[in-house]
This record gives sequence, C-alpha cells and structure tokens, in this order.
Amino acid sequence: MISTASQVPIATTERAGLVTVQDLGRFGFTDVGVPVSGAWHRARHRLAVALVHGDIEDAHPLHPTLEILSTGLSLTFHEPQVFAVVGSAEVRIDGSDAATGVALQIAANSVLEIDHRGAGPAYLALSGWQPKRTLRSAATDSFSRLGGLAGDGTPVARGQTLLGQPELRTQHVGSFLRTTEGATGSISIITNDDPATEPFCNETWRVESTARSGVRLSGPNLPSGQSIASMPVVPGAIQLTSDGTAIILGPDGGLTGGYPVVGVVASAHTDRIADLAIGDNVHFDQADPVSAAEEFTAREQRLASAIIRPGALN
Amino acid sequence: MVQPATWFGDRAVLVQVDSAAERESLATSLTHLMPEALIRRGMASVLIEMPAPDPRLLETVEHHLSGVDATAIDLNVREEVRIVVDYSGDDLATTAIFFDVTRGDVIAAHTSQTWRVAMMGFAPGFGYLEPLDDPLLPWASLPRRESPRAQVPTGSVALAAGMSAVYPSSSPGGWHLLGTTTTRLFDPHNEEGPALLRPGLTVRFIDAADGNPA
Repeated sequence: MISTASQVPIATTERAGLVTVQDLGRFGFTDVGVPVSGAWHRARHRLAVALVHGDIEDAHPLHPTLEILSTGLSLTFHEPQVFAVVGSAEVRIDGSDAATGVALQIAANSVLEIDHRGAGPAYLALSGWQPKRTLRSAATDSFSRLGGLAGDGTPVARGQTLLGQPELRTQHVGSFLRTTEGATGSISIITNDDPATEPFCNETWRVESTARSGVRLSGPNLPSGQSIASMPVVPGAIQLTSDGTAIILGPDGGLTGGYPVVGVVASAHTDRIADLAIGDNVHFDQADPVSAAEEFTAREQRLASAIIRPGALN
Repeated sequence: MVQPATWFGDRAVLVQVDSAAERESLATSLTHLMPEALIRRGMASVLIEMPAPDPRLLETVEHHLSGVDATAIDLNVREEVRIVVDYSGDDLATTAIFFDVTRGDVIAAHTSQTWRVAMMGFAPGFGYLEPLDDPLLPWASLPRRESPRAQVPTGSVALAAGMSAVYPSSSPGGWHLLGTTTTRLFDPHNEEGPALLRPGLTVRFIDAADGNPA
C-alpha cells in the first residue's frame, strides 16, 4: 500500500538520542531465527500511528514511528506533515511549546524538538514518512542487526534523512487522546507449577538495567537457574539465570533461551515492562490465562475508544 | 512420550518432548493442524504461539496431541542442503587432539554424518544441527570453548555440545571452528526465503578439498 516511487526528503535529523525506527514488527520469519522486534510499548506506538493515520483498527501494522528511549530528537522538516507524539516528552515547534497526544501540522522549514521525560518510550508518528523495509518491516532490531534507516539495526543518527511523501491528512488534525493509561501496578504473569513461582511472586524485585533486549531484575536468590536445553522464548518471558538475576525478555531479546522460564508476562501487561526504570521496585502476581485474555480484550476496547476525532465533538 | 502441554503466557503453549523424533513429528503435525498458529521448536520442546490471547489454546493443543501419530510421518523424506566447507578452522587441530584422532578423521566424521536442523535461533538463519545417525566421533563429549570468541567470522562451520552449526553472520561465539563456507546462510533482502536452513531439513557437509564439489 505504500508506494516508494516518488519519495522525497521530508525531514532531516539534527539531533538523536537513543531513537530507533519501529513498526509492529517483522512477522513471518521467527521459524528461521528472525525475531518479531517492533515497538516496545505497543499501545503508545499504535495510538501515535492512529492519531495521524486513522482509527486504531485501521492503522496499518507497518506504519512506522520513531521510538524515543532517551534524550530526545530534533528534526528539520522539508515538507509539510501531520505528526503526533505519544508518551512522556516535551515538544516544541520552532521553539514554541506544543502538545503531546494530539495530531498537529508542521510546515516545511520548521524544526520539531522532542525531549524525552520520565520513564518509558515516547513515539513520533509522521503522516508521509515511508522508511525502507528489511524483511517486510522497518523495525530496528539491534540484536539481529536488521531494519532501521540504514537497514542494519543501527539506531537513528544525526544528519539522516527521512524519505516519504509531502502529505497532509488534514482530516485527522486535532484528533487527540481521551486518556492515557494510569500508573502501573503489579505485573501479572502466567506461571506453571514451578517451585520458583511462589517465592518469585512473594518478593520485591529491583530493576538493575533496562534495554530492548531485556530488563534485568535483582532480588532473592531463588533455587533455580541451571541452564537447560535451549527452548523457544517470547518477549515477556522471565528467565532465572544462574547468578540469581531475573531477565524479562524484550522485543529484541532473541527467540531461544537456555535458562528456566519462571513465567510469562500477561499480554495486557507487556507494555508495562517498557516503562520500568532503573531502581524501580517491581511486584509480580499470578494470573490465569482466562482472566489474562479478558483483561487483554478489555484493554483493546479501551484503546479503540481512546482517540477523539474533531468531528465527533459536534 | 509427549509430556502434558503447559501454558507459556496467555497466547502460547509449550510441549516438552523426550526425543528428537517426537519433536519432529509433533511440530510437523501441529503445523498442518493449526495453520493459524506459529510453531517453533526447541531442542526438547515445541512452542505453539497464537497472534492474540486464546483461553482455549491449551485445550486445542491437548486435543491435537492425543491424535498425533508419530509413526504416520515419514521423517526420512526430507530436503537435503549441501554445504561445501574449507576445513581449515582455527580449532580443527585442538578438536582432533580432543578426540585423539587426526584432522582428517574429524573431517571424515563431520562429512560422513547426516545432520538435521533441530531448531533455529541465536541469530537470523542460525540452525542448531543435530546428528541424524550415529556419529563416527562422540560429538556430545566436546563442550563449548572455555572462553567464547568476541568475533566469529561469517560462514564459520562450528561444533559444540553434540551439535554443529554455520554462523550466518559474524558474531560472538563459543563453538569450535572447524572451517568456513562461502555458502550464504542468510540474506535479509530475500523476503521469500531469507534463510538457507529451515527446521527439519537435513544437512550434509562436503569437504572442498574433495575435488570439484559442484
């Protein structure tokens, strides 16, 4: 659906912290060792895309965003665009404050500055941006060295050009988010009858490091963690390593693991992992697959009604 | 004997298996029976993943498990991939010393062996190859290197812990390097088939020194 026939430069990066190109991921190749990767906080990415392109159900899974994990991003625009920033950030257009969570216009020659604040990724969607794809996706997977502007998994750098169409979908300008998700509580995991489960859920864990490959937690030394026969893993799987560290795998965490998995984060809660910051205390509780699926469906319904269109206010 | 299936999150189910043959028959059957699911293999397990949470998934998988007939699948009918190797790897000599044989014996054992892609992962296109028939040398007794290399070159043909592999791209690695191949294992620009290997394929290594391998 995206034509690359007549792409023009739409913006150039003047400054880029830890910023990567993402979409919903690289589907169809996990059986040959290519992870899905894609946006870490999937709801925020989808909302940014939906603000600019249409309803969340209509938003194409391959519409890209820039995922901002730290510092920030500055872009000089060469073509007019509609954009939206979703997440914890301060936004300025040509030095003047602008809002997050709303679809806005930006003119050619204007400068957009986004400063990341707080924890968790923020997302920038642009109406006409069409990054090139590697294996059907633009998602940057630094672990597998795929995707991104350079195609080799490297993050966005200063002086790079975003290609696409001078596109103003003005019918969406002014669309805004009704709510954002509130403070996160404990994280629900689906477990099996593993002796490590109960002590794992009874303890407080502390975030030691956080990256798209995984979040490392320190806590009690649980009687587990010997290496096992390599097994398939998924983002959200929690591994117990031999030194007592727990690792919650992220979107770039790889497809196979050799450590026992104590549980897997419920689908409705995987985005919460992206918002963990170093030093945070984390609690886990057990959920059964039925209630986890119900919570997932309820969250999807909230997301589908999260965007207010200007016309809907009349 | 296939073990009971267990939940692996709210959208996946994991089945532990006791043998490679069981893993292959189960993965092959489920791939046909559940086209909406992604089936991925571990060394001793099979993961069945759905695109969204599905409270009935465990029930569905258990139903299919009861109907899987391991004997009904002919595992011998497999596509074979041949990989020509220049056996001049940095660890060929130490591997020969480990098994107390000549370098030529290691090469003969590696090339006479039929290998099967047990699972894929670690890197795009990286296949964990298991011996399909009785090996001439006891591969499983050779552990990984004590200190992994920071950089293993693309195309390295390697051996460790009873398995063989080819590194599709340069990466850190702890396996013993027997040689190199110029065969391309992974091409990110080929959307139709980026990887040479697929789970279940058989692989034969050919010694480049044996005349014209083509």
